[in-house]
Amino acid sequence: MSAGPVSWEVFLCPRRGLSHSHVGSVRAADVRLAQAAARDLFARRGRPQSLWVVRSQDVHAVLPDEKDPYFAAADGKPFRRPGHFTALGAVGAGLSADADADADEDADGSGVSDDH
Amino acid sequence: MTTEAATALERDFARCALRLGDDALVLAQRLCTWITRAPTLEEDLALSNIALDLVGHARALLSLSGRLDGTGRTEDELAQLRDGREFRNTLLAELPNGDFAVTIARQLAFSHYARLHYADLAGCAEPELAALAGRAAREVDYHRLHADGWTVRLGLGTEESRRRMQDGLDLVWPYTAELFAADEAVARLDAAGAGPAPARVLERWRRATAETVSRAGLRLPEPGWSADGGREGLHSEEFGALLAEMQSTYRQYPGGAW
Amino acid sequence: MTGAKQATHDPPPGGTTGAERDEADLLTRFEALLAAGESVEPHDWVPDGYRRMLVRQIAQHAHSEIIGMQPEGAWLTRAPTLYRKAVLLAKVQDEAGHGLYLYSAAETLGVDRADLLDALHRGRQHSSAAFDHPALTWADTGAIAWLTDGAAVVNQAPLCRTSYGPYARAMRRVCQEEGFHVQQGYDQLLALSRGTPEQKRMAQDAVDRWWLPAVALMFGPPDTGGAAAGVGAATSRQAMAWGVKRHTNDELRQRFVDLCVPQARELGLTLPDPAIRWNPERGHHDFGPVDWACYRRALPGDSHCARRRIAHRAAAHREGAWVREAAEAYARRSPEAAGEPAA
Ligand SMILES: [Fe+2]
Ligand SMILES: [Fe+2]
Repeated sequence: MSAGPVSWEVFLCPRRGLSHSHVGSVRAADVRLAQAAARDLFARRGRPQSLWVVRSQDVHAVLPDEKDPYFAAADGKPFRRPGHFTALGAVGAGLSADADADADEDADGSGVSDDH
Repeated sequence: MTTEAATALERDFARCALRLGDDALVLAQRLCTWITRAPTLEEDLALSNIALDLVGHARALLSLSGRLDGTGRTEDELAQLRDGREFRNTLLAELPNGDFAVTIARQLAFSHYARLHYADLAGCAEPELAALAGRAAREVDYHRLHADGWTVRLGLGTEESRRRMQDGLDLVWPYTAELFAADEAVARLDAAGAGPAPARVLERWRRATAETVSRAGLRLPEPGWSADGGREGLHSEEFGALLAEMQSTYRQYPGGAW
Repeated sequence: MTGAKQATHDPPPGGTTGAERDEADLLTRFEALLAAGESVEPHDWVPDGYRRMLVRQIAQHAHSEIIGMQPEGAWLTRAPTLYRKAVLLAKVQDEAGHGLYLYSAAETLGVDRADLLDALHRGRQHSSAAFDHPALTWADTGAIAWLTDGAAVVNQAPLCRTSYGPYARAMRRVCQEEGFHVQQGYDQLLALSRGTPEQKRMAQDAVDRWWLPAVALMFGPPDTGGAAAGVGAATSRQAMAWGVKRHTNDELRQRFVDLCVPQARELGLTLPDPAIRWNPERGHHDFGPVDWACYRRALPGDSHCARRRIAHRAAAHREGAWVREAAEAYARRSPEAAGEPAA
């Protein structure tokens, strides 16, 4: 049993149109202090659109031991992946509009690329 | 702005900017000494962020003052080469830090005042002052959140923190009246409708600070006396030491480039 | 046990896995991860030695960030211009942030920041001795940023790819900011060097005093070649085998010297090592042997300045205790403020 402030996970949305990404965690006794600490730590550079803090204990991860039953089913289904089918060529170009939005997302989820 | 051409209005705005700039500078200087000494690492960061905003305000305000008063003095000439008698900050800004509660009490009084007064000044007749007051109002609004939060936390925390926070308010409150006092320049600007005097926010300030203090379960001090003199350059003895420290490097290397 | 460890990083590293895997099996999987260049994450099983090495290294690194705030922090009130005051404030603030990133990374290994700070205050853990020197003049803030942060960048850039995920992610943030710091220190020294003769003397004096701490203490003892290497070499080998370190101390030290020599020339300042010269055969600058006797004297806790740094830090912590207690008490009294659903 450790005394001291509890842990909070911090999520930043760098700008409109993007989703929140996990950027790290802070220790704080209450929610306002957690927001303040997150602001001072992760939003000193750049000007994010939005900031979330969530008590770490409220994040419920899939147990590492259950990773296989949960995720193994994604293997072996090549028809779910882009590039599996014959390309549509020029007529189909407009259908992959998502590609641009995805390219904007922070590649490693660290949020670092949005610091200036 | 050329050196000879400063009009009476510009000179009044110069004095107005100087008062504001000196408060920001001196308060930032006080907050700087908290850094590496704060109760948590998070507060080291929070207080340095606040100090950084205030230094920014001081730079803009002092530069503007030096341009408007016709002397062309730079922010650093004004900050580093004036003697204590020429500084126009309130005694509130220069009060020694005391414990964290005293610092928070001062932040509470100052940030509420600054937020309201800067918001008023954002509509003043001096366009540069109006623009920077608008920006400063947004920044000190965060300082207000910080001060409100800690006032309540300390007020409702432990027996010790409640006592310290009350003592802090009691110590600081007699120094708050000076924030709202006018000198002739400020009075003239207000009368001419060119720039509202700080007294115009006094009632709103009272209500806002009283609300926080009551949420904190504390008693709003009703001091039977008030301190002033800072705006006329009559400072505390501790101010000499603050200034000597702040100006030491600059003055030690005359003609230096930094 | 705090939420962080239960939720995002559960079960606690090294805790029960439920399955009947024996340690050899776990070790094989761990080594396979390393071999594949995958990052090790908090829920992965890791050998005890790996965890101990990481906790020690990350804690020491975090301690160095927050103790390193002191020499520069002492000049905040005396910065010669308001611009330099703002720049220095921003830098000292970054260092506090680095400390926080790193303590948070350490906590994913099952330790608690409060305990790490306590160990620092009681002298059971240490910060880098590089900061256990007094910042005597304004130019010291420039020299620290240029040399000490410069050494940190060289040292830490490879750590952005260190095998432990949370550490690597913290280091990516840290390194990005350290890069600014070096430029800032260089810029500050350049202004002094081009200023009055007195200013230039001040800059040279500061570089003279901060060069050795950067070269010796920021990189640690020699760990290559001959008998001199000793224990350093064994530790380094293990750290490299586990992908915690990517280069030897000596490689990094050489890289740092090679970077500094041309920069010093541009600054118009001299590095206080008469043995520095370009060696075309090696393609590197030679430099004088580091005086390791001086390094040993500077071992934590030995020097007057080191004691002052810890005393300063411990006093701040002690004097802030009532504030931290108040915040906790307030959170207990007001569950909503603590982020719990209102009853
Ligand atoms: Fe750092
Ligand atoms: Fe740094």
